[in-house]
Amino acid sequence: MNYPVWYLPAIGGGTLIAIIAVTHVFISHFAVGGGLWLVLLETHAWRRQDKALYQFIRRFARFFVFVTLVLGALTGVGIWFVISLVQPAGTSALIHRFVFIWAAEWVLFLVEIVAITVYLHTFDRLPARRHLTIGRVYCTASWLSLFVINGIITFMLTPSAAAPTSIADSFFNPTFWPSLLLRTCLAGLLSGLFVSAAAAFWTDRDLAGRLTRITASWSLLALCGALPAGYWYLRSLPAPVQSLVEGASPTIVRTLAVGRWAVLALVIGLLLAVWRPARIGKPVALAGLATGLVLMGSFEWTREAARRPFVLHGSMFSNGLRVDRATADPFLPDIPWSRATSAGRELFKFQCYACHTLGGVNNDIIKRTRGMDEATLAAYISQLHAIRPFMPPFMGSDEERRALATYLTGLQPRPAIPASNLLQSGSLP
Amino acid sequence: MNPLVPQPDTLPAAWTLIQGLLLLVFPLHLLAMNSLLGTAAVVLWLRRRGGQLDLALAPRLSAMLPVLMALTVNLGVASLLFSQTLHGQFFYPAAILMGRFWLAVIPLLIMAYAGIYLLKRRAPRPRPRVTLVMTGIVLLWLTVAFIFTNNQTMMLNLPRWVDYFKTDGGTLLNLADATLWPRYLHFMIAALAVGGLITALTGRYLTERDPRLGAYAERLGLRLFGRVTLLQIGVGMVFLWRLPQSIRWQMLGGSMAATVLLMMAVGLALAILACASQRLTILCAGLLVTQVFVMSGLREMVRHASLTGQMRLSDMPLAWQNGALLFFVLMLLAGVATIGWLIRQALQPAAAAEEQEQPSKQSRALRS
Ligand code: HEC
Repeated sequence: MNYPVWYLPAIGGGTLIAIIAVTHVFISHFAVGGGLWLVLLETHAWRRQDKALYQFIRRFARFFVFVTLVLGALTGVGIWFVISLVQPAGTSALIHRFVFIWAAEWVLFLVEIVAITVYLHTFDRLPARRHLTIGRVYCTASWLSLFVINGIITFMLTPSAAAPTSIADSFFNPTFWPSLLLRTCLAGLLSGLFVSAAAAFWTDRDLAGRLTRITASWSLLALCGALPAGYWYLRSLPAPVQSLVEGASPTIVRTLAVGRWAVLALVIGLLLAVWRPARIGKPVALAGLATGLVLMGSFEWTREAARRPFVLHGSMFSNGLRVDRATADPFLPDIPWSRATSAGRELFKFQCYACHTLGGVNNDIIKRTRGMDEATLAAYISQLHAIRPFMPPFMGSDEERRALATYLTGLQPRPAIPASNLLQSGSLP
Repeated sequence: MNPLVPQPDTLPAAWTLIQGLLLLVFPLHLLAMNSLLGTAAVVLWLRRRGGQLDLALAPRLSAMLPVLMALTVNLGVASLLFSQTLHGQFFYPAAILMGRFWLAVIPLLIMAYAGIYLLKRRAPRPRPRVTLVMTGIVLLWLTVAFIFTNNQTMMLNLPRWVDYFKTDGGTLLNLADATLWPRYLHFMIAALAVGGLITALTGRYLTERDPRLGAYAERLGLRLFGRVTLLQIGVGMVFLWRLPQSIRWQMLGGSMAATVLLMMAVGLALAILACASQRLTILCAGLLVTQVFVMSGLREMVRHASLTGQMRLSDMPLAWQNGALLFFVLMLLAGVATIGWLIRQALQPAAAAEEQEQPSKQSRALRS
């Protein structure tokens, strides 16, 4: 690995990626599902000659464009920016493998921008059928953009079994279809939650109630679809990843528990909305949206965490080091971007910082090594991957391993020296 | 070769092909960015002038900003994608050294976008407040552009990279680079010129419906455009002068291609000035688009020349991805066709559309 590391020890690159990615995923799944809602509701309004609904759609379309068009794009670019900074080696490998796929994705984004802008500005100008066709063009482009990016994301976790692989094999990898189904369902769910939240702010309470009931039933259906899709996805994971998800990784276990609570809360909330739509006021609708965000967050976090210790499963570790690198050779002389001084710090930076912070919220190594003395830690480091398969093996000489242990134990808060000791050692007058 | 430059990854197609794609999308990104920033600057200027026509024109111009911003970001994505494929080994380290600034681009742009949206939603507001928000937006974009200029020059400034050994928190900028400021000015003045041109084109478009406003906008826009372009020729010369001598030399006779491009650029600039003075707005626009393509070609040559010794194309591994390339080309064709159809729908006069599909009385009732 020959890239510099952007070193923010108290925050950690992973935290930055998580914040941006979860926001983006939330918005982009809304972008995929929301277009469908626009078309469905507009068709409904035409059929029933529902003037109130038609008014709502026009307003909602504006809100939709505001949230998805630029915010969706900017947070998407944000993910790319942050992974370029935090995972340059992995990003570069991905870009070089999939540049044309991403370029096709870009074309779809461009179509989306033009389609939704034309849609928004031709409500009054075009005949209903034509206007709806434009809406459908948007829907198709946005779902295809999910289709395309899904191939790249799933590749990172499950590159296809046979190597070396063609681009088509990498793209249609073992989790491609289950993940596509799962994400499509989640898009339906999230966008439904967005529509109900918008409805909750609508002054015409009668229409709001009707909308809430429709969207809640469809969201419930989407959620019901998401559960078997999620199960199928889990079953398609390779065995070591499955074992991580099923308990070998403490972080994933915690995250999944949060996800389960979110599902439960959503089922209850949506049932309530179908049964008594009038009950769903602004706070409940917003809480529903927030729960959707939590659910999405726990899914994405699990997917990211399940990839550990890799950034590209099977070929590159999370810290950017290639899997085929010899583990016992001296490490730092091979890293042109490392400083000649402070070997311990540099080893931490280039090998552990990808997943650990120093005193930060996310996986603080000072906390994790509490109570270990230098020798214990040095021994532990030599067994990292064996004891905890979600960590890559330490790469470096024995001397470097000890230097890392010394550095990390040196960061431990010093135990306060009891005052009585001080008194004893000093000579009293 | 500098040991700090990472090993390049395998290219998915010949270098020249990807370079060609970059040269197709990057000028479009520049044009969109220039229109965005320039139009916003013109709006600000109009608000300061505060005449009746100025204030009538300003909202028409600012109405374009959201779509222009979406296009700027979108075309930027394509450019960065191809650029990362071609020179990722220089791009990533440069971005990491200035990590905080590089990532700050995202929140800055989100803030700017929120600003435009605010203006769009609540148009009739006290004027000073609108001007304040608009000033904020323009400043945010200027900052973002400055970060990008830093990044693009840091990529080429390998001696600066060793400062990483002193600071690894992503706080470095490329301020000491002699080309930084002229380059930044060059781009920002181009944006102002394009803003003038967009104003003139808007005037042209308005002429039918509102002849007085249309003529005013066209005149004002072209005047701004002409003056700024004159200034630009000066800035361009300073920029050229600040480039390392070996690179400057290439454009002044050392390299045939670079020299021809520079001559074309100068010729085009003069032609553009002549057109602006003759009020040939549409021709002006056509020449300007050509100019941006020529300049982007020149920029790419400067980049290459700056990296001589650090990058040998023959050393870069290559494995053609024919299938994926074909997929992209087909998508591009289908996408362009779809976009063409969509734009036709948008531009079609309402009456023509109605004729093709008899709307029922009901549909009128629903919309009224
Ligand atoms: C791929 C990500 C990753 C990398 C790289 C990584 N770790 Fe970890 N590490 C983890 C996770 C996840 C945990 C467990 C967190 C938890 O318990 O919730 C952990 C836990 C630990 C613990 C606590 C002991 C235990 O068994 O719970 C130690 C010590 C540790 N890591 C040391 C290191 C050192 C030293 C390095 C660098 C050589 C390193 N790690 C690199 C992910 C990583």
